[in-house]
Amino acid sequence: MTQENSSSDKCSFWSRERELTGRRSWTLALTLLLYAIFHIVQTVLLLSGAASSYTSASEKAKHIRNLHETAISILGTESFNWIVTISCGLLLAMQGFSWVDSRQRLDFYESQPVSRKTRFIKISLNSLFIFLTAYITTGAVGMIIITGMRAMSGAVFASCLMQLLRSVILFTDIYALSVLAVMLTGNIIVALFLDGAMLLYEPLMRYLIHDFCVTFFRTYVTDSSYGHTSHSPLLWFALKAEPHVLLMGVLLGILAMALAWLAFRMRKNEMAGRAVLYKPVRIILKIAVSFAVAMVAIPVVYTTTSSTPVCCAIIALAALVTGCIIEIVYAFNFRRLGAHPAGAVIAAVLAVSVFLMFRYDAFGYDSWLPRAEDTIDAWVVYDNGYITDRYLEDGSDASYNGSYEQAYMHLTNIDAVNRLLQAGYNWTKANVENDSGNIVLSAPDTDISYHLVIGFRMRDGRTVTRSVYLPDTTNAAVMDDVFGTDAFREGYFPIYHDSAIRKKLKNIRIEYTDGKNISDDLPAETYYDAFKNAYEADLKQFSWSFAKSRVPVGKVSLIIGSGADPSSSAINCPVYAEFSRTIAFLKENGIYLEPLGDPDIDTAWSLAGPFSETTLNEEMQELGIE
Amino acid sequence: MITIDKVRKSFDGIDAVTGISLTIQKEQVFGLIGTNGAGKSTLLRMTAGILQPDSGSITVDNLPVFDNPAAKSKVYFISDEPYFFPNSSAEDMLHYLRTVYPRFDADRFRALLDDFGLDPKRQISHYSKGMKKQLAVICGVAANTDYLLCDETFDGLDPVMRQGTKSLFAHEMTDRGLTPIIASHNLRELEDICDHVGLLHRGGLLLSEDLADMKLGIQKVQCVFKNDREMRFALAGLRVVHREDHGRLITLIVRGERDEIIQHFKGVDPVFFEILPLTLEEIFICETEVAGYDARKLILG
Repeated sequence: MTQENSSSDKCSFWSRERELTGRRSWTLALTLLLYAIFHIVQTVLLLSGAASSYTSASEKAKHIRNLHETAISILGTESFNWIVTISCGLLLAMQGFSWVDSRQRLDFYESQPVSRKTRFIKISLNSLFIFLTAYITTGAVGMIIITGMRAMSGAVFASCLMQLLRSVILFTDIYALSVLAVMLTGNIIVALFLDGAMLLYEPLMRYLIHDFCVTFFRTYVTDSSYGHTSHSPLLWFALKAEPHVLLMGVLLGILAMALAWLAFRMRKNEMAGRAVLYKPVRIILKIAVSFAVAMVAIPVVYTTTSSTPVCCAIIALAALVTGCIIEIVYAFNFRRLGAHPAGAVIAAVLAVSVFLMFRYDAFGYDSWLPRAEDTIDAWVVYDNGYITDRYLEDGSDASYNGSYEQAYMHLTNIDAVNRLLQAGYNWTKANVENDSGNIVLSAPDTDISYHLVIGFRMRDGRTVTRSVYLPDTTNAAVMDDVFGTDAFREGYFPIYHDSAIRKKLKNIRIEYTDGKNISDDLPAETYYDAFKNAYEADLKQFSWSFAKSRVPVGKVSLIIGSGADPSSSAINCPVYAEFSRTIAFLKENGIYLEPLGDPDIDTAWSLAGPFSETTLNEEMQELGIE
Repeated sequence: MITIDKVRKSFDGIDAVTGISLTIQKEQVFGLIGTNGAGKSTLLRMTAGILQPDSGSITVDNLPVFDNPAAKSKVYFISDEPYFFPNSSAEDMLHYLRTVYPRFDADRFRALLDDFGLDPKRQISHYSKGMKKQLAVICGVAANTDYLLCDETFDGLDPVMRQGTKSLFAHEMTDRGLTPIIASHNLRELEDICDHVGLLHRGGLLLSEDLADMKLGIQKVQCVFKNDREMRFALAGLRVVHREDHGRLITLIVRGERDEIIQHFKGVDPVFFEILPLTLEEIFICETEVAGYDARKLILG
């Protein structure tokens, strides 16, 4: 035995890491290749495809902006490289610990003078090293290409760094959960299945709950987001995580890694090859999977048959059959399908209970009213409002999604809002059905006048919304207690929160129409403030009672951009005959047009203001127009 | 010294090892005999630190072995199905093992490869089963550990290689005090190498004795007497463990020292008598018959 052969240097941590990386060279090569496709090939293809000819300074600025956006979509926070990150996390975890399932390899590794802790750390650090090497190497090349193609900026660089951070967190989470799945199971295929279940269970449940709400409740707001998942890195990462969610990702990774280490430490080698190693995990997994399958069966069954007993029977059967299949998988023995029935029965009972709770609205979703002391304020989105563009103060378009009202309307008289909501509940439940997710009228000739989405900001941080329908015969006091308030007007009419408008005053023209004719326009830079002051003063008259019985005599439009440009937008401000200050402004500045007197129905509709639909509908009926 | 104290291990309700206590002294060859399912592999794997006993303890030089690198660095385990990295060569295994075993001797490894005619660059997947076992033995010897656990290692080796491996073990024992522990179901295979033998059956230890001690106290005698009267007189003074009659030729296995038995037969004047070498197998059969087991079923591999 020679001194140099037996040197303890060979057994050092770094020599082992080098040796391990050499044995995992194919994994490193594959990871490098995948990231190279995203970070290098894609960069070259997309940036070289961007147009580089421009004739003006504005086109040049637009071109540069496009390059920056493209660069961010490749390496920055808009990148899809998370697909590769997730794949790498899975691959490195499964490949790194696949030996725990094989008796032959267990004998080899576990007989060696390397502690489980050292081996666990060594493999995990090596996996992180492989990921970082591939990501940073290809990312650096990609950034060099981006710089060479003049698509780099400070913002692009910062976005790339943020994406690197997010990717590290995502990789760690996926890796840790995958290792946990391997440690809890004795078989790679079952480990993959458990990994998928852990990653997708919460998003699946959130989606199903959302789907149940759409299917069974009449007042559920169907475009509600599912919310951020807490326990699956997949969905929150794909939905552009905010900083606090990144922190949650870090905590999730730490927790999953700690559990994986614990499971590895406690793992009995003689269990290698079994489906699931730990008895409590077997029980929980059986119940969870049987429950999930039964839950998925609920909307499928309910759309097929509306018979509640039949639905219950099929849902329970789905849970029981799934439980039997799981027992077969656990034992790799068909005869074991009837073993340990309690888990499947529990899942069946839970799933049927969930179905019945939603079917009969056991928790009173369609009649919920918040307590004033629990609520900060509220907002109302009036869905059939007059056509106007709206912008948030940061310039983003808020025309159709209720975000303007949500941002700027603060109704603090919760009792008044509750009265409105209660009126909506009463009418909706009496006249509207939920036909497997489709809101339909109970009777075909029922008149719905208004569709409202009412939202509450709760003191516990939640936002709760309800969707209700109301007729125009609703009590005026109930309506005006909400729609006649300053808070409603300030959160409804875009003239009040006009930072986005003010930034573009140079490009805005003010024009007036009587429904048929359009006046000359005025430059907003000179006339906007005077118009705004007059209009806001007139708006103080506005309420539901006011607007319901009137059709505006005209409309002031703030045209942003060129009217001939199809991308131009318009802030429309209805002008009623009683808006004396606004009319005075228009007359003073020579753009007023006398009202048409008896406009045709199309002209009247083009001038329609909020809440005037019923008036116009009555008129159409009188005219015999459908 | 390896101390196994009241170790138990069960799998799915089946007792693989039931309360075994053993001491394996250093610098002797310990043979672990038993049929399939006797618990040999389980015991070896617990000694190697792969499995953790349900109860009891296993220490190597007073160090508990499970998940203890200090204890495991003294032990090298050769499995009945040795594992090698896919697409690797012997040279690749060398590079790996020297990062794991602190005293691994690369020169010795290469020399042994040469002695046994194994190509260090050739892919192990192209080796025969016997060559793989040889390589596993070479890895174990080159690891320079104090103890070498061999699970059915001689299976698959041809007689020449088997003898070569035995010679190698003998050389290592002399040179640096290696202690091989060899598990097998074939008694004849271990006869000329073991110093101490333990017999397992159904998870339990039937006996554990030094071979020399066993052979000292028991002898095999073939004899012929003039008549039955003389035969009865001659046998009366002996502690006969086993007797086989083939006509007038009587084969006896008797307890006692060799000199003592010779003196006895000289005193009774038989027509013919001869003391023959006892095989390990015959010793075991006799010992276990006394214990009430038909050892032929246990040990004839």
